[in-house]
Amino acid sequence: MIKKEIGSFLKYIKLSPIILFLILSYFLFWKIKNIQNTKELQSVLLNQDLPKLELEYVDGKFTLNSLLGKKPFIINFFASWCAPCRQEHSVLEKYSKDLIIIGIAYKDDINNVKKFLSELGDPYDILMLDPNGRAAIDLGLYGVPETYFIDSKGKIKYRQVGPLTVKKLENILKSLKVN
Amino acid sequence: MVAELGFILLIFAFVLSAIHLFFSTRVCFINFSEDNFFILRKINFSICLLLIASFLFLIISYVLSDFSVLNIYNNSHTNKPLLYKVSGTWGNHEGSLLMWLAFLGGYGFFLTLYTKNNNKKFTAKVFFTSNIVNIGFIGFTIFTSNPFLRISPIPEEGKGLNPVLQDPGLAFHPPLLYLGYVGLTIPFAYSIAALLEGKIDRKWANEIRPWILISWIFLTLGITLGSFWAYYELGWGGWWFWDPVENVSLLPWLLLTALLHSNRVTEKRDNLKSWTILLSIIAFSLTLLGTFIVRSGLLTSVHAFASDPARGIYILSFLFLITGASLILYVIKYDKIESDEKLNLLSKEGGLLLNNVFLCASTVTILLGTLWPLFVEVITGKDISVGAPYFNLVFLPIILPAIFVSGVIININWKRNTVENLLKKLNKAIIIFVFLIGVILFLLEGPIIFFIGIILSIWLLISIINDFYEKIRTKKSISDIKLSKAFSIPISTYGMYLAHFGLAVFILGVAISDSKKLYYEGVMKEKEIVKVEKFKIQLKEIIEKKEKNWISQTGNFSVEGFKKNISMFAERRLYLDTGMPSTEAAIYRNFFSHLYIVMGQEQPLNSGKRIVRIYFNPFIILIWSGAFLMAFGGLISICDKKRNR
Repeated sequence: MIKKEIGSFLKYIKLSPIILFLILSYFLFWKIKNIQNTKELQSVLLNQDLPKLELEYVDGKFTLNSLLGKKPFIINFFASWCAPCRQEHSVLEKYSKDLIIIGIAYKDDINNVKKFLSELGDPYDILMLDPNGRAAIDLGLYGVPETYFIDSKGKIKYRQVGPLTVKKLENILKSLKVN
Repeated sequence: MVAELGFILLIFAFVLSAIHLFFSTRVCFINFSEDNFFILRKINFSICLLLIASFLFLIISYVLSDFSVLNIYNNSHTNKPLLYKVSGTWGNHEGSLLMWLAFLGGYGFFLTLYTKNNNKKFTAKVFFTSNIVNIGFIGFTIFTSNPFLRISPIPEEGKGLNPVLQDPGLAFHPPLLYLGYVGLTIPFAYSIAALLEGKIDRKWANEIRPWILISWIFLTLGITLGSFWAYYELGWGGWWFWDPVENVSLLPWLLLTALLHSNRVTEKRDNLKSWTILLSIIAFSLTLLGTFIVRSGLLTSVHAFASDPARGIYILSFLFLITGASLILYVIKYDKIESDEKLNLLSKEGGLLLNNVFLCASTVTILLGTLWPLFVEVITGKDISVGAPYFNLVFLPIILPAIFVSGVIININWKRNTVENLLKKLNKAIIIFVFLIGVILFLLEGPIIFFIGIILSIWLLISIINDFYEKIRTKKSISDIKLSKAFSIPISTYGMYLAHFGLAVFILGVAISDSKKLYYEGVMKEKEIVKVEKFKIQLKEIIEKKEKNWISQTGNFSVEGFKKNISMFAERRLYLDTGMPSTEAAIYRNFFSHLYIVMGQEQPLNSGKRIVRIYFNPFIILIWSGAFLMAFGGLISICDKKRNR
């Protein structure tokens, strides 16, 4: 009697690999989903003052210091050699009237930058160069393009890693306004 | 131009694989004809050659330093020697995936070549399965990790290859490891084909044996080289760190070892069939899981590839589909393939089963330890990490009995045995063994694990010799040996002897180097002397040097304590193209032992103070020699033409 019961139980042992695998998959999918969510924040600089950046000033209507702590603005790291930056550029162009945008060309040559901007348009109110990546290190840059949103008190409010799209930018602006 | 060509070939391969999928589905499940089978073979060959060619084109682009390709710009530099330009191809995520594809192509090529005269209906199913794996990986490469992407404008110079990767050991470590990983596709394809067919026999087991062995050899070599590289180049002073990525390479190795043994039972005794199938499915899935963990940045590890969740999602979905489908198929066909034959525990097959249980249990413990931080995070939200103490505590008690048992299995016969017979065969071995243990306990001293290691390796050695002796002696008397009999022992048995001898050497190396090592860490200035037991070590001077692509500071150490006094040079390099530092440990070899010195950065600057770490690792070289002998034993086994015994 007991033997028979064990026998019928053993029949189901073949199911154990698939069950264990499903449980494991659940955990893995959970984790990968959560990695994605963390991509947007992760900066110790958030809600901190914008650090002093060492940059080569190229041209613009006003200087960074005259802006800091008075008006909100965004800082956009880009490079002429970076393909996603080209994609992103049209988005910045579209918003160049509504927002104050500071462009920092990361590890780039001034001639290439000028060519890049004359080709695709210049959305930047101030253009600066970071030829050896000093400012990028101070901000902990992941790569280009990367964009920082600074509020009127001069604090970093949001950091976007990777190219902005119209939808993303709208969402960010909305959430910043709410706060 | 070269890069475009490479990408076009890759797309061709993808399209052809899709055609292959439709066509082979028809051939396998709707109507089979021999003509169609031969067309399938031709498509197979084409896909394989396309994949290999595409990889070659990427290598050519690397050699030409074509920085208009993003991948090359990111990972190469014109200053690099040719070897590292070539090895830079697989020193990054995208390129290494293309290498993976090229290996899939290579294995597929030989598979197609060697199955010409096999059962065609069955072979079509093998092609069907391996093609699905091809599609998954080609798609992964094209859609998430294209290595041929262009950038514009073209940069003048590349960013350079990570300096720690600029070492011959690392140039060959990934290819060998990948050859092992990718090779598992074929036993997997055979297993799925057998499940689809609903039939597994001894011939099947015999056919997949060389494929299992090939993967096993490459995986063994790959892991060994990786471990050696970590010791030699990274300056970590150890040979195994239970890093997640090390673990995920060890997992398939353990299962592959189990598979190798269980397949032997299937081949010889037509038993453990469903077990062999399950092992090959899971071993293959573990390689996918390993890829997933490494490429998605799921677990933090030294092997940090540029992580990208999109890649993670892709490979995880692929893993889910392919493993899920295989396991469901396994459940459906289980009753058809399982043999009713009872297995006698006191026999070679029984012993191999027992060893399989040990190997699988150890795989589970490592998998659990590797993924534990993940489970904890999901359930409690806390970030923890599982370190070496867990693995040493849990892994050793499971694997040590397995090693003891394998000594017995070598000597036991197939089918039925009695305890008396076994004892009769082993009695001399046991007497010698006990005697040697006595001598060792008397002469040597050390922690308990030291003795366990030495005893186990002696036991393995004695049981190999005993089995050999029993095979060549005549029945008449115990001292009557006929050497001519040694020639009638199959070559694969010698391979088996050598592999287990390698295991014994490996264990000996681990036991001695781990329990007898010396370690010193401290701050040193020029002219300062430290004493580490019998060694007297002085930092004589610091030499500064400038080369084409790096500047270096080298510490000149003079060492007393060996038979003659020696000088050693520990180097610290700063690579100019990336600005990254790297350390080259000074290693002095004395037979099998190493004296190992790592010099740190000057800190604080201009103080002349540096952190210096000194290790003395006795007999450590036995670890890698043993692992190498294991692989070599496997190679000998493959060379056995008369496999079918």
